Amino acid sequence: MIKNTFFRISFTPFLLSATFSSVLAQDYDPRDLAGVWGELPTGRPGFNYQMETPPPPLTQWGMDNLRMMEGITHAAVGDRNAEFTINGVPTNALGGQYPGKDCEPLGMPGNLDYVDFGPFEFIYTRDGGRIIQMMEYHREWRTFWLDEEHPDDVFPTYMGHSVAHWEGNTLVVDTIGYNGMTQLTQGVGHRPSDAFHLVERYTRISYDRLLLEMTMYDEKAWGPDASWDGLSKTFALMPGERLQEFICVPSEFEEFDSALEESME
Amino acid sequence: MKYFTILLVLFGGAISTQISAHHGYPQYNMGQRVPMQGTVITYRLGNPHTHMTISVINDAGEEEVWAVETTWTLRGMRARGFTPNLLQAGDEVNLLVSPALNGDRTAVFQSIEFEDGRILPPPENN
Repeated sequence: MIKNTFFRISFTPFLLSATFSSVLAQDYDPRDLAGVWGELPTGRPGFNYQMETPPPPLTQWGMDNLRMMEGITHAAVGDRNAEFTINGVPTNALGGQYPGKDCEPLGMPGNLDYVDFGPFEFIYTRDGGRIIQMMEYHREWRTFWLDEEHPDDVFPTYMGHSVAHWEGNTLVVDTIGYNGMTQLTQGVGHRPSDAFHLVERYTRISYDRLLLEMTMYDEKAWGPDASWDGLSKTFALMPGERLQEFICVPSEFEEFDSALEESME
Repeated sequence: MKYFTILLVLFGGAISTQISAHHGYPQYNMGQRVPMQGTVITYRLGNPHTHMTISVINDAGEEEVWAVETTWTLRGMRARGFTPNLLQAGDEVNLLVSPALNGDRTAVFQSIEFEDGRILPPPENN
């Protein structure tokens, strides 16, 4: 009892002070990105990037091999009123393509179009060698291998192979090894080639804000000297948030399609 | 129902937008919200979108089945107060929906008003 009383008298003000100062100052480690990050409260769903420049035009090889001539929907990048992309792909096409259509994998960076539908979480492994990025939307995830080099024989995948390192307090993530089956973002009407190369720079600019800046390269699609940069997006920390299950189930589409077809009979 | 039909005719040519969908959805007139009264046939809360089918009696007294979907994911539906058993087959419902422009009997769900006056999602959260 004496100890408790002593504790209350002596330490309670200290603890309260510490708590208040923590809340007010929101101390944080700028290299600690762990937590759930989501759309800014003022974000515009489906229009997720701040763009400084449009994507580079396709090379002739890209025009012949990568365009989605069936058209795209959600022309979220660039002029939403445009009837065609700069590469002649119809925009806002009925039944057009978009990342994740028919439960297809989105991959990266396409999944980042939809953070307003599902946040993502960074998880650090105990050995310090990896950071895992869990995307709630379509339940996708990828690994950042810290301070490693890409292997010489990267196997092509939807997510690619990602290595990362710190530059100051910015986590630089370098990804290659894509399989060319994804869509970069809603408004780009072509697929990446297997030479697609993504560089992401994550900077925790404040306690509850995370800035992502991206630069993309694709020497087959855009040429060896071209890059698409000026893409940035800010995410909001969601303290206490937990990722939810998001499974895209094709049979549920079929159920709805069947209902729609029956409704028209 | 007559009001619903009239509004469909009046605003059928209005500006349309497309929602985030996962298959070949028709275009919807997202800027327009029209009332739909009917009876729940099915209701499935899920990802990427929630689906329901609604039986509606048209002006000729015939039954029409409408396929209604939401733009919100399951996360969005939960945040707006929807639960798996919120609606049951046979429930009479008053909805606000955004209809398809191509004549299909399908629409995007906007809100539901219950008999006690409660509206989901709450107007401030829609």
